[in-house]
Amino acid sequence: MSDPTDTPDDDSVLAAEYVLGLLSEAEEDAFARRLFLEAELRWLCDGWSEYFAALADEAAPVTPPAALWPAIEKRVYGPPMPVWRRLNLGTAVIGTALAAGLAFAALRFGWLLPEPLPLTAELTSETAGEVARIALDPESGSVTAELVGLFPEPGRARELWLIQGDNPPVSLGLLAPGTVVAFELPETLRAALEGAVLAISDEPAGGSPTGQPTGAVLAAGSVTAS
Amino acid sequence: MTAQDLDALLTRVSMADRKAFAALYSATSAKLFGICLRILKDRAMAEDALQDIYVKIWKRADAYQPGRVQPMTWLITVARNHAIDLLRKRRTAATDNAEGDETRIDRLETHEPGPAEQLLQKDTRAQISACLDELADEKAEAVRQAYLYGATYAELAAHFAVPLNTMRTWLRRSLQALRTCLSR
Repeated sequence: MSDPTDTPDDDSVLAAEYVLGLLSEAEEDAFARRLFLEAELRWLCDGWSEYFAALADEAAPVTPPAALWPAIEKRVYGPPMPVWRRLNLGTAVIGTALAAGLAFAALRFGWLLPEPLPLTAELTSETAGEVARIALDPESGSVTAELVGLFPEPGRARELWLIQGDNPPVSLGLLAPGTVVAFELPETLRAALEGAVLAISDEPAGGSPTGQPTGAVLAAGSVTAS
Repeated sequence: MTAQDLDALLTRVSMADRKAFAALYSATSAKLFGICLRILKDRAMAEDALQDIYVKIWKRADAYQPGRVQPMTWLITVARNHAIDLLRKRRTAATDNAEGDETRIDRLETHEPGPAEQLLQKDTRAQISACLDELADEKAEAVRQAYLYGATYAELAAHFAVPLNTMRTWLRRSLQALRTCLSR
């Protein structure tokens, strides 16, 4: 600031120049060093950021093309990870989830059982794509289900329903986000599974209070031979 | 979506909560895309920029500290700085003043209270508009160009056809006047 025509040094103005990106590289480095030490300077910069952001706020919102979000997800999350890594539930549940994931992998890939479950269903939604993966065994009545999308808001739950022909939906239980859960089908439901429809509804925490779906049906799919 | 909702989402995003990230994107992407379009004036470039910006938000959400600036200000600053960097890279005249936006995110990183709480009570947008209106038209224009297009002193001097030092004195005085008006 040796130029005599310059206004006197003023931290607030310097902070504004810094936020605008107007300082030379050397000035900026010097300012950044002071910024690190002086809370008052940080305060000044935050204040200017707040005001200048209000200028950007004049730009009208424009909905970005739908293809952008999947592209961002792909860049952020990388290629699909093994089931037990796809969790973001915090470390507390990783152990359980890992066990469940391994159990599912074991079931699915036949590490423990000689045969994979013979029937599967992929439940999809028009907007969110794949929402849940289900495998069923009509012989033993065993069902494994994993919710992979459309996770519930706090205080809500995702309930899995089986619809056979014209019969009313029968609840199989609640799904857990990113975790494989196992159910056992009552014997009466084990026949005519192939071609039956599985659906997921949005329900209050704890599941539908009425025994029938009360919220929106979020995803559905048919049971097919795997 | 309120500032508190955004605060909560950003906090969850900093803990790698994907659902929160999706919700944050739904709530804020139109605003940030509008800003990218406004700054870059090129749709394809704005689309690429928006992707980079959200990747950056995902990676750097832990740099956001509630209370220092409002959550939308933080998001807008990430978007603006990224878009400005792209613009400046595109402009050869701006080589004297390039800056990685990482630095400017970093400086928001320490834990401490900031002006956000006080400013929350005021309509910052109306205030800055009114204060810019008090400046001479060309001076207000210079401030807008610096923020919205990343114009450097050299570019502003060329635009307003004045010597570089004059431009700098000019803008610094405008910023001083602006500061006085904003603190009223």
